[in-house]
Amino acid sequence: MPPSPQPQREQGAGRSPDRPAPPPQVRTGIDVADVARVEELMTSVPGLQERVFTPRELAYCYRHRRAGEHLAGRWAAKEAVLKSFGTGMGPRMEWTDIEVVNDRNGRPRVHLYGEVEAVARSFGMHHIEISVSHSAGIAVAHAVMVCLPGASTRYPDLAEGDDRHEV
Amino acid sequence: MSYEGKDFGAIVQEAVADALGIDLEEVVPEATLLGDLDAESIDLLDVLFRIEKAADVKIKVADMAELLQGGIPDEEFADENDIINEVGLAQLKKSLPQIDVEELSGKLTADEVLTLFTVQNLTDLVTQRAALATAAA
Repeated sequence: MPPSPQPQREQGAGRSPDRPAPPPQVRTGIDVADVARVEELMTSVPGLQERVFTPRELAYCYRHRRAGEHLAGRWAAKEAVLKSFGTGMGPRMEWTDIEVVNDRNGRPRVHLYGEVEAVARSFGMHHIEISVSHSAGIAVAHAVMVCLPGASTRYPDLAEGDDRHEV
Repeated sequence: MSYEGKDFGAIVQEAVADALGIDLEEVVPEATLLGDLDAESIDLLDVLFRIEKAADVKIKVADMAELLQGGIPDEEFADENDIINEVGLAQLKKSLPQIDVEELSGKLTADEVLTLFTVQNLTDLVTQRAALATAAA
């Protein structure tokens, strides 16, 4: 005997007026980077690291004895953030539009600027969490972007702009 | 800015070989960067920066993707399953003349498009950008 069909519920039926708001949308991105590759590239090609990292990021990395691990971690973090967009590097984006800085407790935080920030805003971004680690010559970063419910999931067509805001 | 005397083919070939740590002979025009030569995003950053230094032509990874799509919106370039449609394939043929449109019809997914980009396509892009910069000067 076939199972009897489930009764259809009217949309919205049974909802109390104080029903909790729908949950936020979450977008994630992860990346691994070869520490030696990043370190070799950034230190051997003059001018490249300034194209990729902000002065604050470079200052942080070179304050540490194993700067390469921190450079690779930040590279992975930038890639992870872009992967959370689902599109990678888009037109008019710069690597320095994504900045990873550590707070006084050492916790990494992401600041977005320019086109990257504009795209994140178009996704309804509330905030981004980032986690970075390195071991055995590999750096890994995981980005979680928390977006407001009902926000767009498609890559936007944005006009050029260079307003810089911290997130 | 003068690009006179610059051999963009040789510049691209050397940039790719140096960035990927492979022999010049391996960097043949028909080799795909992400497929045959196994380049990753950090390698592309390296390649494009070397080209910029040697050729005075700034290209970003996003420029490659934009060139391929030719300004056509996503929803007109591929169907709802992200398979590149006829409009998309016709556009790709302009930038990637080596592709076999019939062979790819109904099979090529949007995420595979960049994997079709060859060393020759990159040389063409550099040449095109240099010509635009010259015309604008």
